[in-house]
Amino acid sequence: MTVSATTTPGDPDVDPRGPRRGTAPSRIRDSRVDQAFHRVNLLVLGVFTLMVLYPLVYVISASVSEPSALTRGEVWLWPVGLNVDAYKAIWESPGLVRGFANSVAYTIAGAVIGTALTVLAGYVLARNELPFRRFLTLFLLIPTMLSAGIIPTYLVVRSLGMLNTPLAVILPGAMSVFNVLITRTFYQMNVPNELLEAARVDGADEFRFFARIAVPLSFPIIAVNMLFYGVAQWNAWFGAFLYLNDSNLFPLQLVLRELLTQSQVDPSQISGADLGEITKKKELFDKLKYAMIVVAMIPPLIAYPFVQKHFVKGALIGAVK
Amino acid sequence: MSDLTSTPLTRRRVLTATAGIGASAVAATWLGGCSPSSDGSSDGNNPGNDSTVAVKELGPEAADKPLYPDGYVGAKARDYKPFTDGSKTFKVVGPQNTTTIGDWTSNHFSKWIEQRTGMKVEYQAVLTTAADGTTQDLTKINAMIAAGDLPDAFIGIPFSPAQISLYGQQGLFQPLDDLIKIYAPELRAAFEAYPELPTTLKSLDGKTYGFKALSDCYHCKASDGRAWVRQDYLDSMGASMPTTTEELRELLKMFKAKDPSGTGKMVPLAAGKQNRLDPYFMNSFLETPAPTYGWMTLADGKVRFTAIQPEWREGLRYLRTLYDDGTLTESTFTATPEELLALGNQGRIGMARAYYQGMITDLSDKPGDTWTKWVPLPPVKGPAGVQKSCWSDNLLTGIPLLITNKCTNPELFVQWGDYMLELTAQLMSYGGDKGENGNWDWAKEGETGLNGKQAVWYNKKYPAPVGQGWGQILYYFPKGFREGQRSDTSKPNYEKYLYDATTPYEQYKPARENQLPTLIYDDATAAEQSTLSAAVTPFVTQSLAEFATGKKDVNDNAAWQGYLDALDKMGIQQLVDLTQKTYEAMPK
Repeated sequence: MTVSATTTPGDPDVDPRGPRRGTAPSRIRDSRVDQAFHRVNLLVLGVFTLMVLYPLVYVISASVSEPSALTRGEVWLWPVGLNVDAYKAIWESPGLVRGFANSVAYTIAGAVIGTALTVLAGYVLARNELPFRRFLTLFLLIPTMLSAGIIPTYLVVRSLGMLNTPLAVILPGAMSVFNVLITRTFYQMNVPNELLEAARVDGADEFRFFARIAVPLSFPIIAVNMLFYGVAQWNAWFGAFLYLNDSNLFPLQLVLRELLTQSQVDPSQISGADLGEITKKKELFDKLKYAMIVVAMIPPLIAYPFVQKHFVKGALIGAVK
Repeated sequence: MSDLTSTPLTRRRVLTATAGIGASAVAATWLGGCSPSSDGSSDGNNPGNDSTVAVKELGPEAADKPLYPDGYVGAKARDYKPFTDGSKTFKVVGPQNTTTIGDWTSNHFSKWIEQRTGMKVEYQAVLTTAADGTTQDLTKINAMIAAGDLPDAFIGIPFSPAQISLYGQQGLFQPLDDLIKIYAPELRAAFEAYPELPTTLKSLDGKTYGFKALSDCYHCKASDGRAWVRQDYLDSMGASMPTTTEELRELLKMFKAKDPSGTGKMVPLAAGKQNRLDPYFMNSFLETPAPTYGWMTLADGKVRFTAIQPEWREGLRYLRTLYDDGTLTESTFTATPEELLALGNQGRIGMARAYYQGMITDLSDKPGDTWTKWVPLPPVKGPAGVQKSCWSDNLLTGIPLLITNKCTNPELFVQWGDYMLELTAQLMSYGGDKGENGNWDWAKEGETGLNGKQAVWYNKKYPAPVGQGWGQILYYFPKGFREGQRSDTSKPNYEKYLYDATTPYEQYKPARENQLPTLIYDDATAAEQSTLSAAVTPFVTQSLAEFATGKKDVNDNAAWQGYLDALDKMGIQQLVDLTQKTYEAMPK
């Protein structure tokens, strides 16, 4: 009955049994509403995917296109005048490789330190026996609502003697309260008290329980934390901008940002410039703009699929109360 | 306090003469924290509180100097000797710049100026530009200042004049007026060449809190209102350069009808968000300043808001006729710089309003390329006979060197800055290494500058290769310097193109007394000013587009009155009043 309902009544061209043959006979057939839902769903998701994918493809195409094609507005999807000059310029620019190495180091350090702190805090806050549990949670929430601002933070970093050291990039804001809350909820949901009692009966103390049972059970949330902190640290430039003077310590994002700023042609400064130079500068800028985005987005893009399976599980479970 | 014996001057044994800077309050301020300098009082000369310090004079002309053309205005190449022995190291914060300066410490000009002055300086580079490359980001500088993390001096940090005025009055920066009188012969010479310079950018309390820089940029004076037209299109259509608004209208119609681009998608008139129409078109109806002045001009010493005048309405009527002709469209107001450039590169633009050719066509160094076909369109005469250009005679100045209250030897920094104004130093900073293997040299006899007279210097590349010069940091580019840049007649440099694209506008410029000078608002006024302009500027910009494109009918008195009333409600009178007040209170 459902089949004939999908075809227009009285339409002689449609064999009412046709669609039945097309689908696997063993599967339970979707109702008409479900089918419609799936179609709409696919359509919406498809449009959404295109919306996300198009800029990505455009940026990659633009980064390997002839700059003059870009300024003529000829590039809209596929590369025009394929070349890799921009990547060559990036590769040859001073400080880039070092910036990349620094960024990797900061990202790993930031992810490990952040995750360690978050898991420790989240686990403890999830335990019912902890005295002043509510107060502690509230205490953590205060800075999310009232943040100190740039200058007080700068003063703190300065008094701790961290100015111009890698610590200034890694430590301020190493732990995110949002992540702590997700992690806490995860432990509340997935590591029940009964498990602890059972472990106690078997003679495990608190530390042993945490290390041997709680941590192995929480790999999904650890992966999520790693990803959150890693991506945040990879994308960060402000801390480095504010606290570092030595360009040898700059992360990739800051190096890229600087490169981009300097190759910008400022109309009020064009005087005295000879043409070849303005042209070169402008071409370089047009080219670099896109290649830099590609360089900066590659590592998170590579890391994402590996963490993703944990991500869905971890973030979802942590989110449900 | 008593140990003031060790000003390096005495060691240099310059003649002691005039200008006592005795125990004045100013002296107490800037010598107040004077710690015993490490070089001690090696010779018996003691210019203490009660004695006099020599007024430094210009050095003798250097042997290695260029030929100066007649009527040369600007610094000359001179010999100077170190004024300190470098036993003390100073901290200076400058902007980070990897494409010109590179590493400040190993930069050639940093080393050269150290040798020349004897000043040992430890540089710290700070990123000061926002990601778009044109706006300033002083977050880090402000954090350093708030944390008391001060160097002896800032160089090339883009503080706004208002900030400098404020910080100066708070005592963060030292006033330099008295020091300049004694220690800065080159700057004093610049003050003589440009009598406006001492008062421009003077702080609201009448003091000078920093070392001035100046660029007498000829083409910048007209850039904000310049329009361009494709000469090859005019030729192919057999049209001539329009001289009146009516002829201009006919030309645009012809562009549309004949489509000289051959693309079938001709855009007769192009402009955009950042290249606004009004500075060009409105000047055929009334004097209209560059966008930075917010439509404020002067008439008989009174500030006048141009966008509410009846002549402005006439200008809007004219734009409306262009819209009715189909030569002006909505996108003339909304095009982004990228769109404008793409249009120009596709050859579809007939006439454009743009800062320079590079905004409408890719520049190249090949002669005869498309961009050279863009020629400036001189102001056209309006129906009432008005024919003005958007022109600004205000000097392009800056305050690149600021000495903080941490510094105990401000007089050394004043001399340090002054040595940089000298011609050779300017070129070392701007052009990098000198000589055959370097990036710049003196022009030879017979070579001509931008103005056709004897050239003074030439450079190979701008900016100089990384690590040679500082670029445009503490700059002094007077008329003689800019016009003295060599330009090969067979292959002119870009500056020459800009120069030639400016001369057609000069004869139509508004009188100097009708141009609003650069104003510095005090703290309270600045807040009010920015609030008011934040409402007025977008509204006028938007209304201009609406009247021009027929969304509001310019011929309908009610619509025009509605526009005036809306501006009234936004406080246009207050804005005019406070501009007037600030103009009158300007330090003279």
